[in-house]
Amino acid sequence: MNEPSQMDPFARLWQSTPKPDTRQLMLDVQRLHETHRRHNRVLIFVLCGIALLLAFCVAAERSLTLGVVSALWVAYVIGAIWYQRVRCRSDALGLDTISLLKRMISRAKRGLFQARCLSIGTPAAALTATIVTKVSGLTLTSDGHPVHQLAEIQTIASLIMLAAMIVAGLVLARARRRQLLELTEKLRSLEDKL
Amino acid sequence: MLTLEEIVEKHAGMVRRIATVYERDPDRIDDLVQEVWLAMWQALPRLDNPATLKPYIARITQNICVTHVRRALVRKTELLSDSVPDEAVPVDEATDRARQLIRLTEAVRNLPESLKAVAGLYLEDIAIKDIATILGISESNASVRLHRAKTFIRMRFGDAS
Repeated sequence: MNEPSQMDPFARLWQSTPKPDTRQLMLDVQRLHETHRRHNRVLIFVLCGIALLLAFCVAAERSLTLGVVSALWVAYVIGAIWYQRVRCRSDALGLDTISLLKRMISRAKRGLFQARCLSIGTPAAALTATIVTKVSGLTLTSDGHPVHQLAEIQTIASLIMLAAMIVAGLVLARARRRQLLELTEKLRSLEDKL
Repeated sequence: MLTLEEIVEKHAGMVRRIATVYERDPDRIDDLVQEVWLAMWQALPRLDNPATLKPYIARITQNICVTHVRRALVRKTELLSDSVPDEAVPVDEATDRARQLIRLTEAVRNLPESLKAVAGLYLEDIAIKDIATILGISESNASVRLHRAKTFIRMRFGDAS
């Protein structure tokens, strides 16, 4: 039934397509490869630059409150670089298709969870913080002074950021849901017992 | 050990044909092919046994094609759009062979997802054992799928010989 495909007329016909232009292809691939490397280098440079700046601010005692932020940021940069290296080394595409799809599905689920955190968790956290602040009486006007103009700008900026995060979360969640559906469908069709 | 240029020269046709099974738009086929070779460039140093190069390239191509859903979703474009003719198979060369090739490509594209992968790899002379390994299914399962795919293609196409 399963004769070698060289003997199969369909296979012979299938392989009779004209050869593609590999010279142009190699040029395009080299260009893409360079772009990826440059992009990665710029990203690492920017992340390390910010980390150094924060470390300098703390070391020079320009800001006392940035200590924790700096530590978190440096940890984040180290984690991101480590993750990038590990991910590049692990040959995900060398997995079999079903395992790869399962891995992509779990990654999409994680993405969906993060998107939900953005769209639902962020406003919920902001609301909780507002209620806690009101209940504990820690408002900006509690001492009777009028609200400073800078505080107003900060509030507006925070609200805009909050709205942007909710919108980003909704868009991301929608994309991840669709991706999850597509991948699950593909996995189901491949795993289909015959 | 072959250089990337030599490998591309030897296997570019196979990569493009497998991509053609999953995508109809020539620009997106080009994108897929580039993505495959970029991944190959990065993965090549990790290849232990050069004898398994062809199945390895087929595996990476297959995986990139099956999972290219993400990019298509981001672009909000429809997969397997029917609107654009395939440049890989020139329609103006109205030879009998070219027409047969178009019909065969269509028949393979129209296979259900579970059969398409097996058929695409089989037509590239990949052994059943390797097809089973690439897809993560058993050999008997791959054989049954191949048989069904062949029946489906024959029904759609007629006899190639």
